[in-house]
Amino acid sequence: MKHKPMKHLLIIPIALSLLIISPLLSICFGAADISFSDVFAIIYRVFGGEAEVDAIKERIVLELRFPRIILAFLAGAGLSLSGAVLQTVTRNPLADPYLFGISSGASFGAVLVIASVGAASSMVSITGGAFLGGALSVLLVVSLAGMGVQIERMLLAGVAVQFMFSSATSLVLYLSDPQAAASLLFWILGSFTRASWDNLLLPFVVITFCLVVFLAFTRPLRAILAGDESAKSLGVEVYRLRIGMLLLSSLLTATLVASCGGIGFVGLMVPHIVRRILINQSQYILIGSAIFGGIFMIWVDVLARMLMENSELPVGVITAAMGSMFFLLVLKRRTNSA
Amino acid sequence: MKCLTYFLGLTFFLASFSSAEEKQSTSIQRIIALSPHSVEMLFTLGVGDRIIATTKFSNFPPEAESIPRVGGYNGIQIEKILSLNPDLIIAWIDGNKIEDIEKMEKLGLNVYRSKTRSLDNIPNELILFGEMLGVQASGQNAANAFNARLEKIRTENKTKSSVRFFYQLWDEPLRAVAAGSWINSVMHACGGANVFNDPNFDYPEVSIENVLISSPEVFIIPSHHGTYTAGVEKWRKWPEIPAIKNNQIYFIDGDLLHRFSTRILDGMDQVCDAFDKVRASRLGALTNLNIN
Repeated sequence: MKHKPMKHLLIIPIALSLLIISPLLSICFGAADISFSDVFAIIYRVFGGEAEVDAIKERIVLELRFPRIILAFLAGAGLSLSGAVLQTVTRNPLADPYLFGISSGASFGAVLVIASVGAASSMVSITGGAFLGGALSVLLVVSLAGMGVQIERMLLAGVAVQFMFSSATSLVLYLSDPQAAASLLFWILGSFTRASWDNLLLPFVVITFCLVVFLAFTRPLRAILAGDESAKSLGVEVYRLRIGMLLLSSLLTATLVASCGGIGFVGLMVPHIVRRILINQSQYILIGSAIFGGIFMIWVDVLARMLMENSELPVGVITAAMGSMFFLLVLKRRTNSA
Repeated sequence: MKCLTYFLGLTFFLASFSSAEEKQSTSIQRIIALSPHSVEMLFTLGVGDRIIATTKFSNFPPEAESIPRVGGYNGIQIEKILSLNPDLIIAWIDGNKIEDIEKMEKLGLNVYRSKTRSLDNIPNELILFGEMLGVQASGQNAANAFNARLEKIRTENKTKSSVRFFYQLWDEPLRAVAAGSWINSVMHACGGANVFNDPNFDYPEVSIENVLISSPEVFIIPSHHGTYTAGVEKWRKWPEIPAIKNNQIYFIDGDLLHRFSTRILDGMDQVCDAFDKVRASRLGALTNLNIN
């Protein structure tokens, strides 16, 4: 297969400039009228410069919009990373945190905590609930799939576990009264409204930790892509690596589900796009997925804030709509080229 | 000859059925009230003891707690309703599922659709229930008393300055009430000016930013079935909002404000009091300014 080294060289500056421009531009969108020059002046002030800025605008930017954009970036990066790793260890291009039931397990855990403790439930208890749910789903998938860890069995078990947890979540929703159910549903569909500087630390630490571990295992992960047997012949402990990666992905997903609800399709879509851009550069797929996933989510959140006046759309609805369109396009292109 | 016998039999059967129906309409004894407000209204009219079943959240007056339940928001147990053999079912268009209401009507049950959507409809329903249940005088008296009190509240607050309020209906997602909603008319009677006037949604979802830039003078936070889901902690760090700066946050029993019963007037009294305090705090601020 041919590939152009020039094209790959161009991607780095493009990614970097998108990484800087996206947060700065997206911060201008919201209910309050804040211009790009306001944002610039506020950032200038943060770094010790002197500039005239409306105090309330400064607080809106620094305390509401910045944490929100960072959370959106972290969520996009984390979910894409999780999707990229799951697709690699299962050698299945359709694998993502949803398919393994991790998201639905984590959602169920978090929903159960919110429904039983109420709106007062703290971030720690929701994260705990989400992680327990996510870990339980991985445990179920692994035990259902058996010790042989055949990928097909694993995927089927994942689908079964996903349905099981989804039905349990539906039951909790059904039993809640309409206001509480609307609140839970809004949360299940994903939103960054909870973002604040205090609750950014946990997702940041977890994502950085997982990214470092995933990057450290780039070589064995690439070996798995070539098949279990050949990976084993290269000395890779396939079973342990796979379980370890699954557990880390579930930690990643659970942390994100706890901070911003269930956001589907990103983990599926972004690694696909990145793979198309970075043909034959599989060592960069993980980091590329994280960066593009983050940037993508920043703009999805802008859409969520801006599509309806005076109201916010759940982020998960937008990602799912875009995800399905994306797959239809891919399918159409494949059918045309066939 | 056989045909004639059948015909006569059928005529007698129908005659006996229609006379039974007539008898029922004059003395309805077994009522199923499918909303908390209709239960409250029937107790106001002194016919609460005729209610044989109701829905989940009917908790007032305390006697209502012991009435058997036949469903809630998620639907009504129609089979149970049939087995209870009610004379009248008071359904609620905005609270019961329309499919359930239609099904009960199709089954031949005597269903009245309660559609109280404005303050002035409450006395109308009191009169109507009085007539339906043979307690016309109670209905008329309750309606007159309600109208007199409502009129008093309206007159007292007519000339007062308006108060910019934010009604925090729900915490997450943050939900307000807008100009078209029922609660807005209650607030309006006390001289409230809503900071959210979305014409498209009666209960718009808003963001913290929306609230910040609309700078309300007072927050009204209702409870839901006795519990307050929303705290004020997250607002404390925004003293830019006049309501937070001047500590004008009032918690009011949501059952008083969200139900279409005569108790709405108690809720209105509390809201009007809160608005008066906001006006007084303005005066206080002005006096301080003059002294300084």
